[in-house]
Amino acid sequence: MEYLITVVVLVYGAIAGWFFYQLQQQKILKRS
Amino acid sequence: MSFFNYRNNLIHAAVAAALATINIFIVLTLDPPNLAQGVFGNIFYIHVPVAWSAFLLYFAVMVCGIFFLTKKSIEWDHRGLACAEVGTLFMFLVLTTGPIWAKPAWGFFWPWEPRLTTSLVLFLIFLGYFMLRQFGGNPEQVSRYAAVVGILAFLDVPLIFLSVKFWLPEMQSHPQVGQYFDSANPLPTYLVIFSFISLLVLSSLMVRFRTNILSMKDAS
Repeated sequence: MEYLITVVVLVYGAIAGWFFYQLQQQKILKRS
Repeated sequence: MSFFNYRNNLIHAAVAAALATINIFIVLTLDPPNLAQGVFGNIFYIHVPVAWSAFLLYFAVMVCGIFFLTKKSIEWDHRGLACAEVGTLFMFLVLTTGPIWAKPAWGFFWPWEPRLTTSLVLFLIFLGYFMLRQFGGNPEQVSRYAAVVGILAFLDVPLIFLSVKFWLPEMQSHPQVGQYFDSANPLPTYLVIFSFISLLVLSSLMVRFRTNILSMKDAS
């Protein structure tokens, strides 16, 4: 089970992190 | 205006989030496709669709490259770059989820077998693509070169698919194409297709969002 949970957290965590980073980028661009 | 202030984008995000939640629920709760493997066999429902999505995104990089070279529109360059970035994120996930599955299934993380090696080569080609984008010099020239690299890089994708046939069976660890899909029990096939669709909706949102940011960057 730990292998499966690692994969789920890795895949969806990376995608969520990507969205978070892009939202930060968007905020910076809107400010400039 | 923020990307998610538009109604269409918000609906797209809501559908992607709902499908992703259902997919996570299925992956964590359903019986594995191959009972001999135990629960970790369900990694199959994520690893394979993520790989298919990455290949489709790289196909989109090639199409955007062709359109950019013929139409000379910067929008196609932005789309191509966005697809390459999301595709490479997905390719990274393929290359990490694969070994996590391989350890309990095969007993080791990384055998140097044809499909893994050709997948790693594709990932490295796209690292080169980003280095070209970053350090290539003149932006117009870089866009043209990147489009050509994106088109040529896609040639590796059919090689990955067919690598299980091209090289000797003794060298293979991966199953043959279609071996996992059993017509007597179509449920795993449907679930892989569902997972693929959910990742397509998610990756298309990511590409659209990233294209929007690249256009904003270009305009500022």
